[in-house]
Amino acid sequence: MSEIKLIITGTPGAGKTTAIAAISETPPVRTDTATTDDLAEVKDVTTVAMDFGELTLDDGQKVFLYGTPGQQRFEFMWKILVQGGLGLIILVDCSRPDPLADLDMYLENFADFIHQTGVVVGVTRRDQSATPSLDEFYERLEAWGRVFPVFEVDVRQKDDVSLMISALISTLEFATA
Amino acid sequence: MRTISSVGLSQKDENVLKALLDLLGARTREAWHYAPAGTTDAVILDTDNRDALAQWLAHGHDRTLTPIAYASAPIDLPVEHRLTKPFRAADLIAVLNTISSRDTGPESAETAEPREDAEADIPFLSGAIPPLAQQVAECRTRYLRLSSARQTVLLDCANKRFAMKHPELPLREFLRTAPDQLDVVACDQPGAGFEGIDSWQSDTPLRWWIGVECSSARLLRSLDSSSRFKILRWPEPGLIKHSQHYLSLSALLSRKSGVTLAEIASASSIAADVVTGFINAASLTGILTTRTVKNEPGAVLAPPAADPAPAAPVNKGLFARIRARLTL
Ligand SMILES: Nc1nc2c(ncn2[C@@H]2O[C@H](COP(=O)(O)OP(=O)(O)OP(=O)(O)O)[C@@H](O)[C@H]2O)c(=O)[nH]1
Ligand SMILES: [Mg+2]
Repeated sequence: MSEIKLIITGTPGAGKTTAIAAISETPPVRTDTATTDDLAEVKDVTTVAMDFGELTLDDGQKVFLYGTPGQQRFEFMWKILVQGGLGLIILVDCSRPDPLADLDMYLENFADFIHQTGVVVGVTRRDQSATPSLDEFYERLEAWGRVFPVFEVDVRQKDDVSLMISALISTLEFATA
Repeated sequence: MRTISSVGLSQKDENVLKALLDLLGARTREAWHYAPAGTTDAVILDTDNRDALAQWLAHGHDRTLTPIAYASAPIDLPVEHRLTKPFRAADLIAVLNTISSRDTGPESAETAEPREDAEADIPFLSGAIPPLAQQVAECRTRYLRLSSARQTVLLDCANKRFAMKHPELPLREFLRTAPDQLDVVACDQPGAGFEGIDSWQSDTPLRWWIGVECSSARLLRSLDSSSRFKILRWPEPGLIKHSQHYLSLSALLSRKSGVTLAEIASASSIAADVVTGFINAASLTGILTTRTVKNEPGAVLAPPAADPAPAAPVNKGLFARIRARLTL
């Protein structure tokens, strides 16, 4: 049986590694490395290849969670990672200067994949910034026709990560048209 | 001889009604007389006077009498017999004759037009209140006060907020209070205990749970069961995360061209009353849009755009297993 995988993407620090750690049965395989460039001011480590976690279903089948590296210079890897993927979660860090532009960038980069599957947007770091409003996020998604879920989440909470995945699964099952 | 009483009428309206009944004489199929409330065949309810109406509904009215709604504007209540203010002899005669023909056989007299959705068995006719969801949708007063024996919730319809007094139960459980134990009063003053209250909350969860819990399996009357339903955005997680059905419905209503009730039924096995409650909740919280199929013949009667990536049946099983894993 082919590999079942869900892809999590988003800007550096949006919480991809944290989200995978929150829900994975195995500690995420981290490929983080010390930050060297301007990101160093923000974070100590960043993911350079991918994060990887897993869930085991009752029939023994595994669902893999892949976190893409956040930095755009790893864009070439995104296309490889999504091949055969079931669906996408985009995490948007609200403490960054222009979260809506960040969202647009990922929507554009993953457009083909989203068309074939579906996407859930997790709005993170709400404790640090209450803007943009959810309405503004939904406006950015309007052009898709389908209404993809946008949730405020704390990726450190397992339940929030679970909910994003459940909503994604529901979207894949019921809202592909 | 037939008798009729009234509830909540202004003194002037009551006088007009009595005078009209005296004058109508032979113009009705049966003779009708005004009598005090309690033992009459029919009752005229001034539905603009919500306090009086609520009181009448709450206090042991006779289920066999026939209510006639009397309102200043055409109202959207599940009552078979209606009169628009002010009283007009011709309208009154028509309604009274309809009631007579109901009881004595339909062959003569104009029968009231059967409502499209055949609501003859709606509890309101026999004295019960329209579902709370309907009352909220139609609320024209500033406030709606909901009280159980121990808890009161005040919905500020004008300002999209609500407050609670003596909160014992979470909202959703409170709204599960049996309808006859829940007193609903439409009012323009906040009422005792709510003066100067500052603990207002967004009314979204209240409206949501009213739609979900208090719809009595009926779509709001402003909604057309044949339309395509779509949501503008997903309900907030706290409102849908406890039930897989709500996630499924959110997704179904997220489709590009929305869904019909029939499509929901064929795509899922969600009970009809759950679907109705969800759609009403979406409507009451302002995230629902509808497209009437009838009005857009070409565009919508065609099947929705071909599914670009249909969920293969094999995936159905996979999705179910992933879900099961996530709820552990
Ligand atoms: N204050 C706050 N911190 C959060 C929140 N969510 C996540 N974090 C923290 O933000 C950091 C996120 O870091 P990572 O999970 O490594 O982010 P990433 O997306 O994997 O980043 P890259 O690997 O660099 O692309 C962690 O230290 C989290 O604890 C939140 O809602 N509020
Ligand atoms: Mg990372």
